[in-house]
Amino acid sequence: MDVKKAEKRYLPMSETMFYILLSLREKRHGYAVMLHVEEITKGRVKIGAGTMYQSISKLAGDGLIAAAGEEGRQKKYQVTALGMHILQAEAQRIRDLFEAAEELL
Amino acid sequence: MKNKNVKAVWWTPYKYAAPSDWERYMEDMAAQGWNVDKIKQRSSFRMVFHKTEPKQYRYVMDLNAFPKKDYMATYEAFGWEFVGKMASEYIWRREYTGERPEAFTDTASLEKRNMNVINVLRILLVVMLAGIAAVVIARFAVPDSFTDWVDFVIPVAIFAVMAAALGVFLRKMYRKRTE
Repeated sequence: MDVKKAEKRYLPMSETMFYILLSLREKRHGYAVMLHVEEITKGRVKIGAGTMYQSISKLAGDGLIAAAGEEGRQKKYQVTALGMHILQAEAQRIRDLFEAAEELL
Repeated sequence: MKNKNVKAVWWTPYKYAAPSDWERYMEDMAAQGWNVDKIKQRSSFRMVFHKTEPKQYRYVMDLNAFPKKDYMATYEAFGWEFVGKMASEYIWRREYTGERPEAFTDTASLEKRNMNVINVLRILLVVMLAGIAAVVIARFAVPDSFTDWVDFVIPVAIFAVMAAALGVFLRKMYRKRTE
């Protein structure tokens, strides 16, 4: 998928997608992503098996993540250059939102 | 003599058309001590329950026509037990205490799970309507091939009844597409 199409499709992205991409800066399989996201959000964001499989399939299908080996029967994935670009664009969008929100407080 | 430890229920996925309703039904049965060992294709017509201790299960129905290699492994790693398949509907369950576990944890993925089922039924509905159209067109294009009015009415009625049933299912499911 080209960059423009990916930006249109993924920005803004859901919290689930954001944390999955963020977590896949390191090679991980779905279960490890779920554990990592729970840890970094202190248990606030829980991702179920169906949501994880659906999200990973979509991200891999669009080239934002790619298979990076296996552990047992589980496939590991890692973010691609396209995925990293989208993640950074989303981070920038969240920073802009944050700055706008700051003015209110 | 009737076996009190076995109960067969017909047409459960049709009586409880929305996946969330079917899941709740299976969970209510489990809580009353009625459980299935394995779900097979024929379970969509006749579901056989066995009397057990009451169980607190979370059931999940997930339509997946072309599962990738790590589909099963992902669910199993998250602690779900594969109970079986009805067509492409994968049935998972998990025994739990405390909070009812979820396989779909955001609205987008839950809606997608439900829309997968809705889209299959929509295709079937189009097929039924195309069937009616084909019979009507044939009736006027090749009138000689219909020797009796029954030749026309019966196929139209069959397609119409099936289309109406699909319409009812679709309405129920669409209303519950985020559940």
